[in-house]
Amino acid sequence: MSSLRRALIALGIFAVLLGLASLALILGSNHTSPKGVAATLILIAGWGFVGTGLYAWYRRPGNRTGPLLTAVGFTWFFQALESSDSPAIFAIGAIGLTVPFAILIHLLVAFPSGRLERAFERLLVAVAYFVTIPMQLVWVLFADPGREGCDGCPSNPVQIHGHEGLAEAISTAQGLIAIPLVAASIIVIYRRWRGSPASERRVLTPVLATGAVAFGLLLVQLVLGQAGAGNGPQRVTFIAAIAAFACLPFALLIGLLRSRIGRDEEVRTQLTAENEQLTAELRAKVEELRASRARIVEAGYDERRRVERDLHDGAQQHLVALAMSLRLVRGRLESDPEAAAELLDEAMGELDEATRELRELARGIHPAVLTDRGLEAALGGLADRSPVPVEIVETPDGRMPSPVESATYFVIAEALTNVARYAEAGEATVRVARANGAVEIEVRDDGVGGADPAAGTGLRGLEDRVAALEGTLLIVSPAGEGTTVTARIPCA
Amino acid sequence: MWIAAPKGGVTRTSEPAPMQDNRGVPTSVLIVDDHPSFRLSARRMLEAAGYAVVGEAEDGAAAIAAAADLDPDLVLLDVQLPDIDGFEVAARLGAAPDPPAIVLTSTRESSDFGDAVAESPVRGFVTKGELSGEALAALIR
Repeated sequence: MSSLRRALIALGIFAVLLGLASLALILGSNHTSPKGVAATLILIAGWGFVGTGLYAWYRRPGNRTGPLLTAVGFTWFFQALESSDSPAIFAIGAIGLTVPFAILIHLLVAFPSGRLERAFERLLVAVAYFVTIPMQLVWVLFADPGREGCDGCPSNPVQIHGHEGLAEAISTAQGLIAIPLVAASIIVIYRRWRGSPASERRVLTPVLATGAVAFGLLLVQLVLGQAGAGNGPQRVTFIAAIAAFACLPFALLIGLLRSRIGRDEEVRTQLTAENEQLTAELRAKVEELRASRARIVEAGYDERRRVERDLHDGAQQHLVALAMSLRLVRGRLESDPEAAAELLDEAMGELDEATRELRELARGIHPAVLTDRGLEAALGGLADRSPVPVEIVETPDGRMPSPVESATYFVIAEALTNVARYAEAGEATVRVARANGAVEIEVRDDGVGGADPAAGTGLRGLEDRVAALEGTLLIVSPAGEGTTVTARIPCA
Repeated sequence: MWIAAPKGGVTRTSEPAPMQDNRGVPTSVLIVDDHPSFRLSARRMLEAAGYAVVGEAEDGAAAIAAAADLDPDLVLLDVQLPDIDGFEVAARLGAAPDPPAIVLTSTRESSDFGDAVAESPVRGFVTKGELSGEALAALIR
């Protein structure tokens, strides 16, 4: 158990004992009446302030609100001392009677941070302590608090007699200072409430409203006192103010409760919003996947159509020509051997062409060199065949998983094809590196730039191919500044 | 790569002087194909078989123009052309008064085109691999 917690528990036990002692004093008093009202107000408020204060102190040790509430609670019990029939205890009660009001001003002006932020607030609190402690002390030295309207109150044992006029003047001065002091406190409280955001008002409203009402009642009582009103009305408004103050700890608890409920609602609202957002994101992702899958299937068909067309327009035509040439040769072998030999040369040329086109086609479907000898050799081949000079700056050591290697090769092949077709570049560089669990590919040229990824299906197909491996493809191509194609494919 | 075509992509290779081969069939021929290597091989083969190749066309539009211009006895017509396909060209040629005999050709089999060959106003179909003077003669006899 922490030392703070032990101290707070000790304070709590002390407050309980103090309350019980107060109860005994009130019940045993022969001048306090009505005893029930006095005991209820003193115990509820005293224990309420101490209990709430200790709780707040424990939860937020750095915030002065807890200690201030606790202090209000303890000093509240001074009121019970005034029920004592012992002159000494009665006098101590009279001295301490006003202290909780100063602490209350301090508490509410500093609420909820516990700090006095402005000079004006510090002045207000300093004046409050001055009026309620030194002035009250001096007043008690010259006054007899039980003198008026209190039959059976003990006489003041510390009174310096013969200065009743001075005591009266001090009391009047206290009242005259207290009126603007309390009024200013109400204004500060109101401005604090008005300046707070709606979310904070949930906590602030019960406390500040109760405080303002209590101070309002206190103000009425003070004005009545200064106006020389009768004891009765003053007493009623004072008890009402005390009752309002007694509600303050509970107002604080209500505020905290509302804040928690509010927070729960906020959390719920936030969770709902997050949930909706996640659902929307998921839906978009599914849609994206569906579109990408459709494009991949379509790209597969396109690829087959391309292969068929390439075969038909290329190798097949050469083979047809070869077959016809051979047929012609057969017819001329004997009649015109010279022409037959010429036709045979042509036939061999057709055969070479057919073989070359088949090789190109096979390489486009999947380059054998990539499977057999790896990326570096395959890229070397690409660079050799490229009409634009290509420098292979970096390739990773060792082999990568086949799909990653294949995607890497085709990204670079397509990028280099585009460089040759559109970039008007002087040269291109290729970099492939493994870093952070991924392979990073970069193809950069010094050409005209201005490439539009949305315009060509080749790049879109590459994007899908890379995305299928959870990778990303980025094309940066500002006009006149060359083009850089970068791709990143996860590769553990 | 495309042949120079002074008239609608058609190369007139000799005066349209119809000749008769030993079987007495009309033999002035227009070759329509987008592949120059095929046109060259076909020309040699047909000329060796006694046909007179009067022109070549590289696409459907050029073929229609050439047929009107050269009035060949026979059009050897590739099915897959870069603009309109061979069936469409055959339909248009067949609609003209006194149309030429048309033989379709392709690297593919006739069955690859379904009923299109049978429904087309042509004398027949020969795959490019089987093309010969005899094969043509058998179809147009």
